[in-house]
Amino acid sequence: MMRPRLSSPKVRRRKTAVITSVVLGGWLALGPAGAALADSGDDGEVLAAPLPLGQAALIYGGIPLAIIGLIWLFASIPSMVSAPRYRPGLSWWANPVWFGGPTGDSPLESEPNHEGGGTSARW
Amino acid sequence: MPAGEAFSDRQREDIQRAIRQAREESGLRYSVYVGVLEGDPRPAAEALHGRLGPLAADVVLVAVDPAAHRLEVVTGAVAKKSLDDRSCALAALAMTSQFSLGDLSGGIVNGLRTLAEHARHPRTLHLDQP
Repeated sequence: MMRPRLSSPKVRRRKTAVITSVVLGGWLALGPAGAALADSGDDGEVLAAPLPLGQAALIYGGIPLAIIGLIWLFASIPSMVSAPRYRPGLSWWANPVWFGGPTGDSPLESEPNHEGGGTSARW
Repeated sequence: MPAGEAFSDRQREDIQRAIRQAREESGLRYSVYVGVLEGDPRPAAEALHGRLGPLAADVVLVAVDPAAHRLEVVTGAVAKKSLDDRSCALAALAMTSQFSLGDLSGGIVNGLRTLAEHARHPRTLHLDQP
């Protein structure tokens, strides 16, 4: 008994060609390439009304400014909260303080007769 | 800049505590002035020392002029016996090195501590001996 030859190389080649052309054709017709080929200039996008100038300024100007302000606030909070600090480069601004100073109204000696000692220094 | 307070409450407390401790340690009185020393700083500081009245002889005055970057240590006639000028210069060095870094209260506290460490009690016969 002879086994029927189901697919000779010639038939197989023809079959492959048919399948390939069907797949490729379908893809071209239905896929994005097909859509591109069939583009008529209208992609269906509906444009919204342009952003009002005030709103645009608020979004593109106001929000960045608010963020900058917030960062500045966070950066300067520690120096606001912490103790007043003497900075050698800046001028002195504070009122005089005298710890252990004269109590009551001590008369100012007209001629300070100083017999003690001490030292002077600068920085 | 507007006038304000030179020190925070905590810094004030630190300085007052340092003054108290220095007095307990050395037996001398200490006074700290932070402000402008008008004119020539040395006579101005001595004039401030003179304003302390009859107790001035016992007092060691530390006068700091942050605007002029000047420090004056003035010792009274009695205080000078226990605290010589050399010790004052050492304390002044300790203070100015901290002042130049911007630490005014820390420099004063350390300076007072140094002054108190160097101020020795005058020897008292029969009391200093065990």
